[in-house]
Parts: sequence; C-alpha cells; structure tokens
Amino acid sequence: MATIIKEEKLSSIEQFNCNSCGNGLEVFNPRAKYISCQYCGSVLDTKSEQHEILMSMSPPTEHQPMSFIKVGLLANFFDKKYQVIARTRWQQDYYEYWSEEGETGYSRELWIYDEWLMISEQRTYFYLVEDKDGYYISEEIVPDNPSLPNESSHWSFMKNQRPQIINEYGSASVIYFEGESNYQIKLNDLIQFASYKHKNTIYTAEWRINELNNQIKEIEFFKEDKISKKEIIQAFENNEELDGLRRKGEIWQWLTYGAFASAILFFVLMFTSFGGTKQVFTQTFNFAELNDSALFKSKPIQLDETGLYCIELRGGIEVTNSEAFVLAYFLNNEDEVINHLDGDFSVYSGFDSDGYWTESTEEADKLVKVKETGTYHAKLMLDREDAVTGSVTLNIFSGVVLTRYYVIGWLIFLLLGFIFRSSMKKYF
Amino acid sequence: MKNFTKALIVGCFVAIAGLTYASSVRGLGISAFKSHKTMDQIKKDCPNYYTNKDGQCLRTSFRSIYFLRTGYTSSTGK
Amino acid sequence: MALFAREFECPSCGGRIKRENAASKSLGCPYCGQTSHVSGDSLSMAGTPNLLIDYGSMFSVGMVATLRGRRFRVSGKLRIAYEDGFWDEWYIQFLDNNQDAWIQEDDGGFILFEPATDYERLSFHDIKVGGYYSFSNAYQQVFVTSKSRAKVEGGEGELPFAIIPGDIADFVEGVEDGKVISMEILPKETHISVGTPFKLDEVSLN
Repeated sequence: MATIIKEEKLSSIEQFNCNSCGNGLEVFNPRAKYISCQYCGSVLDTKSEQHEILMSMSPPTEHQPMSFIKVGLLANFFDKKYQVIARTRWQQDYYEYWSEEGETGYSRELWIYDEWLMISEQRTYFYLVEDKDGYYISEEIVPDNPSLPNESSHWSFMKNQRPQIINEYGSASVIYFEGESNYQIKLNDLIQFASYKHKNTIYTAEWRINELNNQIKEIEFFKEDKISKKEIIQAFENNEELDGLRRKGEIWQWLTYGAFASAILFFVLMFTSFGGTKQVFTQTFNFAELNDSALFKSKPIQLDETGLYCIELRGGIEVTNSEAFVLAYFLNNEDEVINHLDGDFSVYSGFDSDGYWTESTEEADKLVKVKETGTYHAKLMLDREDAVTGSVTLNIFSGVVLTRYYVIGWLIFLLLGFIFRSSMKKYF
Repeated sequence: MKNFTKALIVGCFVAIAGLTYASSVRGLGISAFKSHKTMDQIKKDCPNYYTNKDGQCLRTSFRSIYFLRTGYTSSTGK
Repeated sequence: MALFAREFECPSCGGRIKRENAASKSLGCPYCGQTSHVSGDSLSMAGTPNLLIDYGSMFSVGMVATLRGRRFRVSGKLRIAYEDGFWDEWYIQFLDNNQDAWIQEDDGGFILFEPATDYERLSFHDIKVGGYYSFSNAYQQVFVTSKSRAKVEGGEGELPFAIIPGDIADFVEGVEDGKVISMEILPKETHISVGTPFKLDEVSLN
C-alpha cells in the first residue's frame, strides 16, 4: 500500500485576515489581484494595504463543492505538483443534441459545473472541470482551422477531424467564485459556447459578447479530456484530508473482494461436497416377508461414526396402478424405538392425448444426526393389497454434508459483493 | 488502512466461512437420530412401551402413522 | 557574441546598464525602472520610471536557456497592461543564428513569436473578432480571436524598438493554420509575429 507523502503546500506570497469575517487567507498566485474569501464570500483586493472589500458573493453554503476537492488541496498532475487556488461555478443554459430512433433535435438543458483553477510550482495553470458526471481536464488550444459554428450543425476546428455534430451550444454564466483571481470577478459574466465531440475529447469554442455594441470581444478554443475518479483520487492522494476517504474506500474494497471470494468458495464447496458419501447399510425386503401386524427385524445396523447420516427407503412395486405403505422403526441396542421413516409408495400409468405416462413415488429419505455410535437395527411393517408384489430396500449412508448452507452462503455473499461494490465505486 | 482493520475484515469472513463449513458438516438444523418426536408419538400410542418393551403395541403406532400419511380415515380399525 | 557590448549609465539613477546588442533602441534600467532611448553614445529618458514587479516568472533578463533544443538568451522584457491584467513579452535571441524572437508569457501560457517579414495595414477599428483578415502575404486568412487596446507599462533590459511607458498599443490576435498571428500597432510602427505555443517543460535552464 502506498505510503502517504505529506507534501508541502506551495509557498504563499501573502497571508492576511479577511476584513469581513476574520478568517485567514493565503495568496499563492503572484498575479492575483482579487481573492474571494471561501468562508464568507467577500471579495477582497489583494494588492492594496487594507485589502478592502470590493463586493460580496453569495455565502459559500449555497454553492458547496460537489466532492472532496476544495481550495487549498495539493494534487499531482502531469508529474508536477499543483495546488487548487480557485473555483468558478458556472451555470449553463444550453441546447443538447439528441438522436433517437432516426429522429434528431436539440433539447434545452440547464447544467452546473465547477472549474477548479490549478496552479503549479512554476505558476503554470490548467483547469480541472467537475460536474455530476465526472471530471475533465481542460486546456486552451490553438485551433488548426478556426471558425465559429454557424447554423449548420456540423463543425470542427482541428485538422484530421471531419466536421462533427455540434453536441451542445448555448451560454454559461458565473454563479459563484472562491479563491484567487487575476481578473475582476464578474458574477453573471456571460459566455457563449459551442462544442463537439471527437473520439473521447470534447472541443469547445467560447466567446464573450460586448453588450454595448453586440460584437464579439474574444474567442477561445479548448479541449476537454475526461479523467476517471480513480485518477483524480490518485492525483489528490497526498492530502491529509483524503486519508479518511481513502481508508473508507479501501475498507469497501476489501469487503467487496472478501464477499466475492467467499461466494466463490461456497459455490465450489457446494459441488465438492457431493462426493464422500458412503453406503454403510443396505437390505432389501420382499413384500412377502412384511405385513401390517408383525414387525420384521433387519440385520444389525452398525454405525461406527457420529455425524450426519441419510436413511433411505426405496420401493420397487412390480404392479402398476398400485400402492404400498412401508414403515421402518429404528431401534437402539437397548431395543427401544428411537426413530422412524415411512414411505408411501405408488406407481400409476396410463394413456392420454400425449401418449403413455407413468407417475411413481418410490423413495423416502431423511437426514439424521447420530450422536452415539453402536449397533442399531430396524423393524419394518408394510400395508398393501394382496396383489401388490414387490420389494423395499433400506439404505443408510454416512459422510453426508448439508449443502444448503453453502447455497445460502454463496447467494448471500454474491449479493453482498455487489452491494459493497457499489459503495466502493464511490471512492474509485 | 491499519493492519488491525485488515485483520478484522479477513477474520470476519474466515469466521463466517468456518461457521458455514461446521454447520454443513455437523448438520446444523438436522434432528438427532434419537428423535423425541418419534418417541413422543410412541409414548402417546403405547404409554408403557419404554418400560415393558412390548413390541405388540407398535402396531398401534403403525396404524396412526399410516392413517396420518395416507389420509385414510378408516372407520374399521384392525 | 557581444562584439558591440557597451555599458551605459542610467540617466535617472546612475546605475550601470549593459547593452549587448548594437541594434537595441530602448534600455530599461534594472535598478530604478527608467526606460531610456539609445542615440549614438548617449541615453535619453523616455517616460517615467516604472520598476516592473517580478511575478516569479521562470524567465529573467540576461538568462540563457534552451527551447526545443535551441539555445537562446533573454535580452529584454516588455510589460503590457490591458483591461483584465497584463502580459510580459521577453525579447530573446537564438544563439545559433542570432535570430530575434519573442516569448509571450500570459497567465502561465507561453507562445514563441517570430517576426513576420511583411504586414498589411489594417484599421484596428474596423477589425471584427470572429472575422477573417489578411495580415501578411503568408497569412491571408487569419481568424481574429481577440483585439484589445493596451498600454505599455515598462521595459527592462534591451528592446529592439523605442518604447515609451504609457504608450497606447493596439493588439489584434488571430489564428491561422494552428499558428497564432499577432499584430501589434504602436504609434510609430506595426509588427506582425507568428507564434506557436509551448509548455514550460520544453524549456530547460542552462
């Protein structure tokens, strides 16, 4: 298991207390002009002596981060150390492409996502985007064939890419900000965007419109690659805050593997336990020897081991459409009846529209736990019509294993395995 | 994760596996060969059977078990 | 290297300023931030002193480093302020062929710009972001991605043209064929540069 290296946070260039709530703030980005207090939402000026409050955002409780990521955490990306220094929450009001059963169209959607600003030791940046669906690494790129999307819904701006369906287009505005910023934070600052997908990467163009003259102010192009939650957790693992999360994830992981391993074990045991039964007694009694008024004594039944035994009566009726009832008493060596087994046997047959049929019941058995070894014997009685001929065999088997617990076991552990697995998935 | 926690989780699974194995082999839930149910039935039909070991009375219990199993309600006993 | 290296005295604070390149027109004093123009053997002050704050960039005037296998020297720095902040332009020479270039550093993004040979005179006012314009013979379908009016904040080290802190400069930036085309319109000159972005990992310090 990886040892957690407690990495040091980046060295801050400034520390001061928030004028509004008094909580300590640290500035890591030398170019940052503004810092939004993550505790009370006030935006302060970093450069001036007094750090005056410039504006107030909505309180942080309204816009809590979606997962464990928060401002101040360290992360390892692209073999470099990064620190989270800001978060911008955007609300997207856009149209999303759909296609179903030959029909296509755009549906209006609202979506919220967070952009985490990550700064490296060398003060280079990238954005980590987080939304309900997962995480993405966003990078500004220089397009090969720049253009703005127009009414036709196919578009692309990189070479070696056929124009793709525009997946989403619309606008987005900032609804919350925390952390350091080089620019003045403008709530409700609106951007227009359009994006398409090529392989597993999302390509987006974003532009701002000058409200005064309705002209575009600036256009930027980005690409976004999805990154799995597992990689995210790995990237952030050197944070104390993540210890608790990681430990929980590992516990679920062990429980999941343990449950599946147990399920497999029980499944295998269920099959392997069928062997090992041994016949320790057998005797066949002809119906002619038995009757319903006198008991017929069997040979001695020697049971030398304690444990589970299976006692079985097998009928062999020779006449169809007849019945016989057999009762076997079991006696210990003090000649006391201690158990019994009865068999209600019958054989029927006939013809119907499907052809010839037979129905028979010719077996009766029970499992018993023998606690005292010794010599036992059986006494049998039989009730039948005189014309019914046949025989009945008494068999006793040792080395019997109850498979029912293995069946219950593997079913329950299989179910538990899937339940644990879904909990585990939250961490990996 | 602490070694203690790991051991605890593994221990729980091993314990459950062991319990299940023991139950399967030892026949948990299976009644003893010396069945009180059978003996009570006989005491009901033949109150003195266990003291005088009178085998004749066993016929009576045969009848009662027989009628129970086969569903016959014979008005003519034997 | 440095055949025509000369040392000057800053007209504002008297500090010693070294000039390596005979073609340099502006010198920025590293001590007091005064920009001076070179004429012959003397320096004349231009604008008010403005010592540029060091924001912890990897680059600094005078350093030698390697980008994509080519060694270069940083001669000067120019800081340009605009509505949302500022960016730095590092004036460099590649040591293999003495070729001039600029490294633009803005918000952790780096672009290596090389001067174009010609340019077209365009009206800053008429250019629309999102439109296609011809910037030079080689780049005739530039998709304009931004335009901004900015102010020269100051300089440090040697610069190839005469700058005056406080000068207004208009910038138009666009993209064609995967390259960034930048047009800088200063009061007395217009420059077109062609740039390719690079990551800090591609730079190694010597």
